[in-house]
Amino acid sequence: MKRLGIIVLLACTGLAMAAPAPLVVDKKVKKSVRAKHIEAVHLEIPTGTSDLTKIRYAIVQGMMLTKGRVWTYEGEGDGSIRARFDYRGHTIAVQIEYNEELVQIKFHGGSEAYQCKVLIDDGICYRNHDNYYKYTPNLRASIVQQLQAL
Amino acid sequence: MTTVKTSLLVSVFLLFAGGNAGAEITPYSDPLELGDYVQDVNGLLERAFNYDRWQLKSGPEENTYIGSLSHREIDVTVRISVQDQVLTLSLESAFQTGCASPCNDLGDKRPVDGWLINLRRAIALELTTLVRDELLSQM
Repeated sequence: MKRLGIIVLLACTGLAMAAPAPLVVDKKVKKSVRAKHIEAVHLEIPTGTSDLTKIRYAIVQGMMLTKGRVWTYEGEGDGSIRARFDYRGHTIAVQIEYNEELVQIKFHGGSEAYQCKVLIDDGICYRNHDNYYKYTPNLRASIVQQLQAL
Repeated sequence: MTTVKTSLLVSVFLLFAGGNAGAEITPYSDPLELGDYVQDVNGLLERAFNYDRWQLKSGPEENTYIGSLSHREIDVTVRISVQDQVLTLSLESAFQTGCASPCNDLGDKRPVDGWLINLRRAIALELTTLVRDELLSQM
């Protein structure tokens, strides 16, 4: 019973820790793309400011100014904004987590072809459709640009 | 006791293993959280409907709006509900123009799904603009 308690505790702690964190790509995990492609989506972004309103603005403005097709706002939680990308009948949904130091894109969901096959650390997707690693980096790059422009 | 422990362990495993693929996403019926950003839902919908050939037919009646689209000989009616600042969109009907009701079997429904996805996206784009403007005003 003691072991079970530890497992439940660890699991609950994991749920409560939904926040940006430095990304270290696990080389042992079987991936569908190279580490650099995972980093292009999920690598943490330094905010450069501790003003959370400015950070939230940079995220939403980044969504709207993403190269190609823009991302739309779906809702938000404490320290996160959910964004969605609809294109040619397919959908990618992400949760953009932020705090005073970092912003990080986490996988939230996807239509059938864009379901994450290997999801690690509560939102880092190691295996998905090639286009996930093609469209989502544009969002990250746009947020970087907006944070730098603050 | 061993059976109970095993069941609990399996339940905990399934609880977290189940979340591995991420949230379930539907083409157009996922709720949109308007939060405190939208004071004028009617205005938001009117602007969104202008993106395409959709027409806002009625609403709000009991927090529900009805929209319609006639395109490629298909008449589509959509229901938009707003409850507790959460907007959801659902297909009310879709049938061939001139077809005597009921005749909802269109065979290939992909074009209708695509039109509803575009409508939802137009609403979400308007919402995104409102969120951005509100955050800008707070800076």
